[in-house]
Amino acid sequence: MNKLLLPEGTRVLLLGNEAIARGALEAGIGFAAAYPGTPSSEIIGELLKIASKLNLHVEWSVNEKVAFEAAYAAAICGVRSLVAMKHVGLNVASDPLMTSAYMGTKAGFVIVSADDPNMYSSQNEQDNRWYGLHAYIPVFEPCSVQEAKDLTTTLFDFSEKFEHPVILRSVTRLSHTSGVVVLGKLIEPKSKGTFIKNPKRWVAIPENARILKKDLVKKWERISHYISKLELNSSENENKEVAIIASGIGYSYTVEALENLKARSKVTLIKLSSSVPLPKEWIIDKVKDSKKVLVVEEGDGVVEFQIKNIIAEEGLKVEVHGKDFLPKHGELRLEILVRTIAKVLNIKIAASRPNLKQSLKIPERHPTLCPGCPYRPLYYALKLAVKKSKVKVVYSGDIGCYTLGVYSPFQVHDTVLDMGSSIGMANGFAHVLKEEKVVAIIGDSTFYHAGIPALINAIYNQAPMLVIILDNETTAMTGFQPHPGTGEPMSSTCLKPKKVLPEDIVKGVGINHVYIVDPYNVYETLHVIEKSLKMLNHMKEPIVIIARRPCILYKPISPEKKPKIVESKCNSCGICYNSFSCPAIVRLPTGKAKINENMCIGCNICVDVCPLNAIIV
Amino acid sequence: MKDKLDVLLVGVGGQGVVTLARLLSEAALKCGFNVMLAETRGLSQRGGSVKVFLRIGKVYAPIFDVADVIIGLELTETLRNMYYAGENTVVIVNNRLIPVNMKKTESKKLIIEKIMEKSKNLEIIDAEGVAINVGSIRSENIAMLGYISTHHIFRSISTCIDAVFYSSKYAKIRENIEAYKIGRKLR
Repeated sequence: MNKLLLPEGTRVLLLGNEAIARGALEAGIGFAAAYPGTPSSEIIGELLKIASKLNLHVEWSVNEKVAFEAAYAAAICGVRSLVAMKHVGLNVASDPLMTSAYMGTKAGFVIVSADDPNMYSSQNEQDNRWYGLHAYIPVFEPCSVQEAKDLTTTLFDFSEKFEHPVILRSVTRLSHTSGVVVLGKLIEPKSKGTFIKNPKRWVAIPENARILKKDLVKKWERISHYISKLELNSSENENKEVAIIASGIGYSYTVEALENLKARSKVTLIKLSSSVPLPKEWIIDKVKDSKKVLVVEEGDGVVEFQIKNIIAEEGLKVEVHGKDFLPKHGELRLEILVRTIAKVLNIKIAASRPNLKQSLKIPERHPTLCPGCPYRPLYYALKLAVKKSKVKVVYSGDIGCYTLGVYSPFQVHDTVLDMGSSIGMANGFAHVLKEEKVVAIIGDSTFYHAGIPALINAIYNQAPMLVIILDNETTAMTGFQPHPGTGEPMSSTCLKPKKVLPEDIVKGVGINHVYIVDPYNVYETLHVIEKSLKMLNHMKEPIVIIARRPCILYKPISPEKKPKIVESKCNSCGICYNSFSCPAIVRLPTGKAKINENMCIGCNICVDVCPLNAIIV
Repeated sequence: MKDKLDVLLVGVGGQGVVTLARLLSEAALKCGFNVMLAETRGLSQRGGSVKVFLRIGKVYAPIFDVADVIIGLELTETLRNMYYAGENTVVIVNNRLIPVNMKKTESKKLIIEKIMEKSKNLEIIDAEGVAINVGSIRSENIAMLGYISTHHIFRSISTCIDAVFYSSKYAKIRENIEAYKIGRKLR
């Protein structure tokens, strides 16, 4: 049986994201949507597996803004609804986020933001708790996998009580940590609702919005006041000289650090689950008799900023520390926290561990394009075509597995800013660069997410560029979620969707030169790129190449034969293991190539790449 | 086992580090212990370095700084993570070297020497050899699991490792069963 459907009372190991999904089921959600993004993807991924059984509508939406709007609409129709995204995804959805606070909700509406401190799989490590202060939306943070489930369920009630959206903030070390969870009761989901017309509330024209804003300010005061009474926050040991306010996962690190120091009884320990707004009256009462407060939180000093404000407003004589002692970037580390708390409490501890430096320099092992990945022959052809055309090129890159093209030997990403920025930034490059040609490289899922408006801009404002859409027929990096070009179901309620092909979109917006190539045909691909670069000399509009070949991990091939090296023919040129850089081909000490049969998947592209015919099938 | 056991598992994406860690965590849960398992997913798995934190027993934080045990499926990755080794850390490493693409590779001998500079308790296991002998390199993580299931440091969960492995989907593959059995005899 799927873990998410196990009965009440079961003790089970769940991933943080699975716990959030289960928590939503225990609240009876009827609707959930997301665009995949690490570390948030498993929430919707897991819900989708069981959605049809429970009659829920669960979907992968085309981007976070659409996911947000869809889930929000369900909520204002009285259906409990969840939307999940990675931290940077909330930027995409920030437009509806802001105004959703003005209009509020009917049924519980929970926005999950999975932040990525230390940027394991992201372009920045923004702390989305700021969005709570910015948008007047309360933010809650669980400290453990169990609390991730429990809090999610509770937040639906909270949201409904105030008819207001709430943000559940997770982090990588919570979303992607498995922990032991005791399951609660599943309740019957309600997935159909009614929309009650009320333009004064649901139509945010200026006249209505001005009134809504006044109401919002009052509601925010009520929420702040109510949060002080919530039992989600707790404390132990009153009136100690030192108080530690530990929010979200910071609490788990703090408890362990205090246990290590055998100092748990020496501080007033405040566990905070509601980080925006702070439970003002409650927290004043907890810290007013302390001399020092240390704030432990992962990300920016969001709680620290608020507590300093409160202490100044109240005129309390309490010294506040936080990011002045703890690192301002990356994730929390137990060792650093133990030292910091020891310093604050004047506890003597042993010097730091010696001998951490490594005398042998070990090269970084970057993730690489897999053996058989269609992007490798594409990048190989692209680099050769650029070289043969003798043109200078700026590669405007984007976000996906193909971003790995930034590394040697291809180095085909000169910029990566955000989802869709390849074509977006090419709109600027094309108009200001004199000599260089602009090549925008964008993945299929990214194209649907944010590439299309940028392409329309390019055709209408006449920005010459070569756009290469890398179509591997899946959203590979986040775990093979479907997109509208795949023909596979993206939602629990539409099982036979009609494909929306990139070539139809591209032709539909008026691109005149569209080529579809199979990157496994290296020389044909090279020829088409070369021809396109030449055409750009006298064109004022974009050319689009769609490089189509399924992701090798998603749709593995089973070749009859795998390639072999004819050693007598190999002259150690290194093209296969250096320029083509297939990880399944290794350099022997003699310089000759050798195929690692365990890694080779038999795509046989190296056979075409070898100029000496030294690789045969 | 003391009140807790912190295990760091490292290797190269595709070697089955996460699978090995999940089987161990399920075993610990089955034996009644509290468990936390912190992984990194997404971009980090495409043939890059993989590092997983497994915590068993009375623990709170998802990650730690000093491991009680380091399980390495690959030598370079084990050396790279030796700053997690304390004075008494046990290091169990697969005698396999996967070269870093397009970079100079040091010899196994030198890497092992460097690991030994940081650890007195090094155990080198030929899980790669076991896997190749049973006919599938993909079984090397299971060969390691077999070895671990007989190791004294995991004795409080050893019977559960057996039970969890044999009831998992991995035990439906002949090579895995053989690798597990041979792994158990390596001690």
